[in-house]
Amino acid sequence: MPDLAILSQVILSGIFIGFIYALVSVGLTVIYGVMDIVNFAHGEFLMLSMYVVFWLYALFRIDPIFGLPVSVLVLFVVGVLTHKLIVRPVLDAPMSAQIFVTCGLLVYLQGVAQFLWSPSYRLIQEPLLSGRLQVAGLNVSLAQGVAAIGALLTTAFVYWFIEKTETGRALQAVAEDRQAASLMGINSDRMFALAWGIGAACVGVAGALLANYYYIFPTVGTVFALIAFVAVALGGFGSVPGALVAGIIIGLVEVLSGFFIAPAYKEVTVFALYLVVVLVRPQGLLGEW
Amino acid sequence: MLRVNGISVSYAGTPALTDVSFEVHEGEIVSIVGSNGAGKSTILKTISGLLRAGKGSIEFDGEPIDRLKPFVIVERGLAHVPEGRKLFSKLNVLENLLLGAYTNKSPERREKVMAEVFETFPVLKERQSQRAGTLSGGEQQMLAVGRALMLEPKLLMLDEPSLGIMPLLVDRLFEVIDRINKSGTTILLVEQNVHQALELADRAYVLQTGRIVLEGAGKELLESDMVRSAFLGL
Repeated sequence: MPDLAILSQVILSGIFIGFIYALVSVGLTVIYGVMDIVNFAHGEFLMLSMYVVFWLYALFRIDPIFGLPVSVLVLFVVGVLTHKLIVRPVLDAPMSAQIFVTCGLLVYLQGVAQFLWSPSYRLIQEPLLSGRLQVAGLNVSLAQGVAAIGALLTTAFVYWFIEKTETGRALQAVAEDRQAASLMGINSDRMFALAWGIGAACVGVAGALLANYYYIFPTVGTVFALIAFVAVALGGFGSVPGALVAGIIIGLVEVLSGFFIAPAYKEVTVFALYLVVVLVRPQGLLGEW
Repeated sequence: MLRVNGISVSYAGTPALTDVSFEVHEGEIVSIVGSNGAGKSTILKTISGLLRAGKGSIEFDGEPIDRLKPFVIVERGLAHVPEGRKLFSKLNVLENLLLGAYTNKSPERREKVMAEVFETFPVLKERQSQRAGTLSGGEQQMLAVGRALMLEPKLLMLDEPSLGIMPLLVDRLFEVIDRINKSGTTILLVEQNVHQALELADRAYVLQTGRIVLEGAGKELLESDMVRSAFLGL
């Protein structure tokens, strides 16, 4: 019988990281949902966001909390530009071109980061969010707690925006049928750019929150992107609630298998779970098709 | 109001329309009839900007629109109810209607038009929170027309509204189209249902393999030998 206090501590950390996974996945799933294009450079967007926050801290002593809005803005622009400069030209090209173009961006951004900022691991030494709290007998890292709550709130906001606003409705219309949407007077190209902006801004938030406690290095994105691909497939392509549920499941599976089996096996169980879902329910948990 | 001058359209080299010209005047109901594959939908798609004409020009309210993008043409007051309805099936009835009013930003006007649409199609009001994909064929067609009306169009283009709905409902639908017209909306109707489309129309055109072969008043064409033998089997 494992120690209950330790177990609840483990579960809490699983939920915390699960919210971060969820937010990264939401960004991916919004782009996919609207455009049917997978952004393979999504993890590199996360990496960029972390470096934005890091350099604001290193050069100007701006704490990550205040760096966050800057990161969101920068990443939104990065997303829009990615659409306009890289994705739009291949929209009518074969599927393989659409895959390779964001794969190319992945390699390029990693290369640029290594070249400009070196492969060293960086850490923000003294963020405002540091130290630990005792909450209901649990020992909570302030940075991780705030990151989890921030990620959850951002996910909820994106969901609200898509479901309840006029522009969100237009995004859904374009996602379902861009021709019919254009007959409603909706400029689908602008909606595509917006989807990229929102998708990238999601990791703009996630990266800034993570930068409070996570190492920052040029390939940091791959860790999260791989998990996000699993979460999007698990939750259902294009579904924001699906991404949230899947993010939490993956977070929990990771920590629990690390706890009960061995930390080295945590990725094995996550991907095993993914394979089971793909075989049993290929549309994902909350997928619609 | 709408003037189509000698447009030719082809799909990957195969001609679909050849030198098609016609006009729609304000307040009219104009029908274009023809059999499956004659190019009827191609005409509407070209007018609304979904397709580009290789030759010819299109004027709406005296201004050329043949180089404009579909979403810009819509803003000029030209609504297109496309073939197959193209509803947003995952969204509910109300959301579909609101999307129809996407370019119509004033809340008061929206509310007013929505009330009119619900008056014309009471079933849409009853089912406003139901997903469009779960409606019956007839209800979907009403929603498609209602969604287009939300734009408060000057010209409403309807692509085969009678397709796939019960004969009884077809009569009702044509009555509604007539009523919409009488309340001030000009209508361009494309139909395979030749008899009813000609009966309803002020003027009509007969389309065969991408060319207009006959034109005249609706009732006049109904009497013509060509229409009687080619479409009505008389």
